[in-house]
Amino acid sequence: MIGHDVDGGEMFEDHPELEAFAADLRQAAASAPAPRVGAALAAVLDGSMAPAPADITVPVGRRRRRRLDTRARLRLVLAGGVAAVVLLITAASGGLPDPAQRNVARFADHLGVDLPDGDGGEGTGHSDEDRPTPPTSTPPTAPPAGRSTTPSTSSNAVVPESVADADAVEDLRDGDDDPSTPGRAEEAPGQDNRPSDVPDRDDEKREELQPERPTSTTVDRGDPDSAVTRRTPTTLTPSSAARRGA
Amino acid sequence: VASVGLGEAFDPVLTAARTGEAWAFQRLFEWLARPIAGYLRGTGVEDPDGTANEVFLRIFGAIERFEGSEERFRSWAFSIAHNLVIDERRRRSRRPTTAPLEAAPEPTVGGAEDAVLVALGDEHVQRLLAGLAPDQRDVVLLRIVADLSIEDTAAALGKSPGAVKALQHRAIATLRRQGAVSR
Repeated sequence: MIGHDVDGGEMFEDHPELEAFAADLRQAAASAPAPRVGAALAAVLDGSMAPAPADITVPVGRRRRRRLDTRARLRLVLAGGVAAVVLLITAASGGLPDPAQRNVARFADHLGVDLPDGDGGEGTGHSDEDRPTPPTSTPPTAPPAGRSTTPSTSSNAVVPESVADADAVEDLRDGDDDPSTPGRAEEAPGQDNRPSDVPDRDDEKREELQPERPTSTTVDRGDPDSAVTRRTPTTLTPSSAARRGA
Repeated sequence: VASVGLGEAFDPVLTAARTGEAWAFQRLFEWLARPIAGYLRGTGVEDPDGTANEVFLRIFGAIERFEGSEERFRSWAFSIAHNLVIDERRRRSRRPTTAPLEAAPEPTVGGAEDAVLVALGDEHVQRLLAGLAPDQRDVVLLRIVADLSIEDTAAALGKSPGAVKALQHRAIATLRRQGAVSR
């Protein structure tokens, strides 16, 4: 067992020609005398003096524990990352329970990511700045206030709000009823848990309009009798922000 | 040199040593004194006996805090010895020894450090060890003289097992180049 490996193999297992060296080294060390015992050590060994406390580390146990801790930390970080990604993806598709969806959307909004907040599928819409695209393609990104809110146009050109509203109205009139429209297909059933203070809506019309509500910055402030005017996208107003905060 | 381990007696001996029982200190000293002294002589420290004494005083002074198996204790003891070796190497590198020319000893095999290897007794072994880099020599001594596994050697040296394997591989290559073959 001299010079054994971790798995029991010999150190010179693959080099039998070196076994003679190992045997010579063992023999030389074995034939060397035991160390002379000094006065201090002799006093400890015969019990006449207690050993002085040594301020040294215990590297073996601590080192191994630290390595295990590192592995455990890595696993935790990986698990946390995976959980965060899964949570984000689920939240982006609006698949979380409403309270969780709202909380996640609120948190993501701080990070500049706009997610449906479970309030009729709308985003939090707190930011007036440009925002990065969410990590998934399912939720529409929030266009900044004062820019075009129509998702069907690829232009990011800044247009006056009135123009943006007009574009949105035009799109609604065109009747984008394609059920495969992203956002609609992703809408989970039972997600319409609006707060009680939000005016009631015609569910059928609202579903038609759902794809046309591309941003979290839009609020419903239109005429309840008109699908077109009822869903006119607009920017967040102080009153709506206050209502959302409530 | 590879002393017989304490086996099942290790735990009661460790428990008694923690409470300051002299007989337990003696058992630990008898168990590890020769392999540690052999390792220290192989590394070429100036005063292997004094260093071995210091190793045991440190072990006994910190044994209260030790927790672990017999193998871990052995590895810990050699890590203390190795740390003292490193300390002396640093001291020696900062403070080159000076001696009058007429008092200078005749050069022996290897370098300046290798005169102490005479303590190991075998000139052939001395020459082969002297041809190794210090870290390679540490690995060879801990693996063969101290009878530590790769893992315990890594723990004693404060290196990863992979690094110890690499050092061992290079040591073997060096030994083969030096002609350390079966005679």
